[in-house]
Amino acid sequence: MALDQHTAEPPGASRDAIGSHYDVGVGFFEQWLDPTLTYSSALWEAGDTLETAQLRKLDYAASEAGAVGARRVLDVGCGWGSMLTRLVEEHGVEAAVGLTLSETQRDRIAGWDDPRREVRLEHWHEHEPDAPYDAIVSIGALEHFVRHGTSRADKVRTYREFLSRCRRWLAPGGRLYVQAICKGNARLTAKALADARFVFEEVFPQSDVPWPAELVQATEWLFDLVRLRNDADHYVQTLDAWRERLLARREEGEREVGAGAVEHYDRYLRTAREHFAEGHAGLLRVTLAAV
Amino acid sequence: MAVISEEVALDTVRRVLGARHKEVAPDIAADTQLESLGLDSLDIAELFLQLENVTSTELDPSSAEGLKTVGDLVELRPL
Repeated sequence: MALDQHTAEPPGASRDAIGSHYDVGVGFFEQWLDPTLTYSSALWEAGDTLETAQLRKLDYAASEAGAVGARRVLDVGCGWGSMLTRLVEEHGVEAAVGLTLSETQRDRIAGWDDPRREVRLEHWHEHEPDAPYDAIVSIGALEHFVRHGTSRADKVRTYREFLSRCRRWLAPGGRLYVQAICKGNARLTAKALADARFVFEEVFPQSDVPWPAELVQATEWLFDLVRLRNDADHYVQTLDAWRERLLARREEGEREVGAGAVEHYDRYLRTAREHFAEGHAGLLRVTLAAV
Repeated sequence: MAVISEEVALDTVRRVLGARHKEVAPDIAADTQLESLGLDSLDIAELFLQLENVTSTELDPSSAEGLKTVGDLVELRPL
């Protein structure tokens, strides 16, 4: 039976769950993210700073999605708008539309008052585009599309529903670029399990990450796989850069959000770094071409 | 060949429930649903680790997919 897309509960993390992590105040994130406020793994090359590595990542995403010079581009999970800005200011995109479930992210982008950059407080499940998109990107959002404990079959079903909608929204020949954390194959240890419990119960509630095969399986008959990279080491480097900045301005952060909150984010950055470094997590960069 | 007996499975479930501060129902049996005991997916991962320790065997994580009941734990295969 087909679910009515307007009445069915959207899959994955709720707005409250998203808000619990992202809505502590943009001023706090400004203290330790790069100036573009990009909150996902960068793409590093020798000599990069955090900011140049983040811009390199955004440019890679734009290029892989075929968004350079495109008219309309969708960013599913647009964060504080760094990709939307890069698309319109550097890549000649006429209309960049971002979806987010975070009110502080929505407010920041809406405050720019730029007709080229549109933000919607919408779940992808609720999105109905005004016109087809020439390219779609989704960076660091897929991790919130299913809840922890969801069966493999249901995860694939939800990813497939997302991909199916993306394909419908794309103009013929369009591409989708996805960057997402994935599970790694390192053997589980008691410490890794305790860390996973912290991440999925306290840091990102109602979220889970895919196995690479789950995402690839969901593409069948919808998208051809053009390229797939696993850059776990790039996330280690990104987390190191974030944590160095967080600790350098710790007192400032404590004044902004309180000592408990700073410790919570510090523990998250340390825990995540270990997960990527030890092979419990990977970083997928996936380029897909609609069929 | 099964490396986990039903008795070991039951004992391990009781131990993990106790460690997770969950109520240990007196009538846990092979057909008891893990979910009905309040065990989530992370608790089931904990069960998996404990069973590896108890049996001194590296178990195949792919054989843990679809675990529903206490009795299903007996079906976990060595890697």
